[in-house]
Formats: sequence, structure tokens, C-alpha cells
Amino acid sequence: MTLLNAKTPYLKKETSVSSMMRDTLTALAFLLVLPVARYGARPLAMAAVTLVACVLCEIAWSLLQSRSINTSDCSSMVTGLIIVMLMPLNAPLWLPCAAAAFAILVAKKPFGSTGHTPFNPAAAGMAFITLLWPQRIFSYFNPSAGEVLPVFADCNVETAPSPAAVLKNGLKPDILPFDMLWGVFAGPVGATGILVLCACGLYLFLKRTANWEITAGCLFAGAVMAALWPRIACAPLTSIKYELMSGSLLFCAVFMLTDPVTSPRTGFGRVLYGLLAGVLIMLFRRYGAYEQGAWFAILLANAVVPQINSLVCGDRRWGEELYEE
Amino acid sequence: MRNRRVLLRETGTIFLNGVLYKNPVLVGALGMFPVVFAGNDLKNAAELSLLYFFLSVPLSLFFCLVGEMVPAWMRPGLVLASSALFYLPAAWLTDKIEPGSIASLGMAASLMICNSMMLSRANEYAPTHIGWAVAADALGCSAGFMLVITLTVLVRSLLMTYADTQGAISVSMPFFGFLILGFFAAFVQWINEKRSQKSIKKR
Repeated sequence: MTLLNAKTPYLKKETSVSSMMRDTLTALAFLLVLPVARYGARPLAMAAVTLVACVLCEIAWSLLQSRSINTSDCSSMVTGLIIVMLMPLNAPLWLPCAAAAFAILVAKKPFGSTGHTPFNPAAAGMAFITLLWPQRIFSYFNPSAGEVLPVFADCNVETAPSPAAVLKNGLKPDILPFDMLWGVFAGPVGATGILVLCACGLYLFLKRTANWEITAGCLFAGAVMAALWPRIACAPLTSIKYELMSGSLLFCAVFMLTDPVTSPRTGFGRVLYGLLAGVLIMLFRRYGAYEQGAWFAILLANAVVPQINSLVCGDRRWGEELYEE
Repeated sequence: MRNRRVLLRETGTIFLNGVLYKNPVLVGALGMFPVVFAGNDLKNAAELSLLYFFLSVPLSLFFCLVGEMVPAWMRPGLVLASSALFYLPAAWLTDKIEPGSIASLGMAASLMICNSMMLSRANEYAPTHIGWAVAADALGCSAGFMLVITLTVLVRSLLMTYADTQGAISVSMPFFGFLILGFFAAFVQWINEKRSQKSIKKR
């Protein structure tokens, strides 16, 4: 028996952590195309500033710990880009930086960096800024107003309620299905383009970077809850359409829940985890203080992962894949 | 001379354990209610710390004296009754130093009578230890409580300065206090882990 000196997260695939992160970065970059084409360079500026903040936080932590600086696995960049995708386009540029700093300096590095984080750093960063600046997080630029957004300066533009906020108030969102698919409605930068999100999800599943069981479980649970307990007076299918396409449920199901470090290790465990996260997201939407609480739901689901692992796998010892017969 | 030095060193260790390494709030998860509920401004923090100090020191010393004479099954009830009795001079003293403090603290002040930290120290620690150690422990726990509640207030105030209106409301809620306590507790765990690694290396 040979002991392989492998680094966490322990993956049974040919892929490395860096290649997985690169795939995720590619998918996230695709999500930026539509907002940039529609609203100019502001999404790019937001992404650039946040990525710089992430790298600076990584460097600062390494210097503080007197360790060598290593940002080659790109995990902090993924965290930064996920945060940007959940921001409103008119958010001040310091807001994603604050979330990124919290994610890296509080939720990621103190736990031992990539492979050791019990909670998704991006979700923790988003939860932090949602608690402190909810008015800024849920104030979305109105795309139909046709205003030009400055690249770096703070925006004082016309805002509109997002479909998630409209649903929260018990009303039916007034958006054409075609606009909903292409993301022409008020919402987070990267979570509105449903078609692009689906394409990115498919890319990640085919590359085996993300586990489809989690996303499928989450969307199934969300759809069932939307059909059985609709928030607006409408047919079950209409309720499912609005619940799945509004807010950040789809984005979180594809990019945040599938984080291999914070998700269960077996197929059945992943399905359970996805179902639980889907139910929690829908409960947060219905009873939460905010129109979107997907990141709070993800943090709660992350906390249950060790229990899911031990429940599903019983006495099986972790790290068996380290040993080669 | 040597015995005196050992005694001083051990007293210092007991005191430091109460302040940081075995902080009753962060390690024992005791007495969290006043910290998360009333730890919103520095005035509250100072008043609660004073009240805790005036209540815990005499209560612990009293149970150091009489604790062993009381059967174990009877002790928790007696601790609670004595705590209520000692609360009267403690509240009077706190009110003397900071007039109007007990009224402004309201429920948080009177609930100090049945504070789990107080009950644990007086019921479990005080009857089985010598007076010197009990005094050091009570002082250490008072200082530890003051440290935690002050730091919680400082973090909350800092965040409330920058948060928007709704955010400031969230920060002042008890659940946010629990989040801050969680981070502090993790920090103390980290310090303790580093200490134990260091002591293993030394051996």
C-alpha cells in the first residue's frame, strides 16, 4: 500500500484544483458578456476591482502569517467573481470589495484556505454585506430606463424592484418570458441571464467541475415548494417559472452549492444536500427578512454537510482514496 | 518565599484562565444573554460589568466558606437564593457609581441573579477550592466578562457606524451578537490550540 501525498480537497478525478477553478472562472467570465454588452464597462470594472481586492487580501494574509504568497489555484478569484455576479450593477465598487475581504480574511484563510473551509467563502461574504447594507444590496438598476452607468463612479440611477421583491410582496412580476430568459430585468449582475446560466451550468457539468446532483436536487426542491406553496395566486407552473428564474436561486445552485469543498462526498449525500439547500432557500424567500437569502441558506446547508457525510457513509473512513492498493 | 511565589503564579494562572484561556463566556458558553442582548453600547457594558463584579465576588467567596457544608442537591437552590440576596447590595453599589443604571438596564440587570456563569462558579468551583483561588477566579471571570462585552460593543459600534439603517438594526439584534461571540470563541480556541502545540514542543 502506498500513501499518496495529496492536497485537499481530495478529488477522485484527473482534474486538479487549479483546472477546476479555471473552468469555473471561464464559466463566470461568460456570465459577464451579456451585462457588458448591454450596460457598458461597469461590470468589468466591478470584477477587476474585486479581483484585485481578493488578491491583495490573499497577499496580506500570507504576509501576516509569514508564508509564501501563492495565488496560483485561482480560488480567491472564483470567490471574488461569484460575489460580483450577485451584486446589483449600481452598487458602489467598495461593496463587493468588502464582501471579498470578509470572504478571504474571515471565512477562508483562518480555516486553512482552499480545501478546509467549512462554509462557502463567497456565501459568507455575501451574508456579511447583506446584514450590514441590505438597502444597497437589494436596490437594482432599472434596465428599461436606458440610463448609462459610469464605469467607476457611484451611480445615482433609477432603480426598480426585482422579480424576487415583487414575489415577496405577493404580486406577479410583469416581465415577458423572453426578457426573463435573456436577463432584461432588475437583478444581480450575473444571476439574471437564465439562458447563459444554463449554458454555463452545462459546461461545468460536462467538464465534471460541478456535480449535477446538487443542482438538480436544489432546483427540484425549489420547484416542488413553488408548486405546492405558491407565493402568488397563479398556476403551479407559473409559480415554478417565477421562483426558479427570479433572484439568485439558479446561480447559487450552479456556482455556490457545487463547491466541492463544502459539499458532501457521495452521490446520495449530494442529492440530500441539494434538496435541503433548495428547501432552505425557498423558506428564506418566504419567511426571511430579505427578498433573497440564498447565501444564508447555503451557509446553513454547509453546516449540515458533516452530518450528511456521516449519515450516508456510516463508518466509512474518509481519505480512503489516499491509499492505493 | 518559594511557596509564596508558587501561590502568586497559580493565582495569576487562575486569573488569566478566567480572562482569556478559559473565559466562561467564550469557552464555557455561559452568561451569553447579557452580552448579546444588552451589549449594544459602552455604557451598558460598563454597568453590567460592574454589576457582575459586585455580585460574583461576594457570592463566590460566600460559597467558598459555606459551600461544603451544604448538601450537593441543595446547593443550586441555595446559590440562586443567595444570588438574589447579594443582588440587592450589588445593584445599590452599581447605581451609586452610575446613577440610573439599574433602571436603564431593566430586565438585563435583574436576570444577572440567575446568570449561568454566576451559578456555575458559585455552585461548582467555589465550594471545592481555597479562598485565594476563588477570589482570583471571580476577579478573572469578571474581567473576562468585561472584556467580552466591551469587545462585542466595540465591534457592533464599528459596524453600525458604516452600516445603512436596516443594517444597523440587524447589527443591534441578539443574533448578530451570537455571530460576534462565535468569532471571538473561535479566536480563543485558536490561541488555546497554539498554546497546547507550544507546550507539546517544549516537552
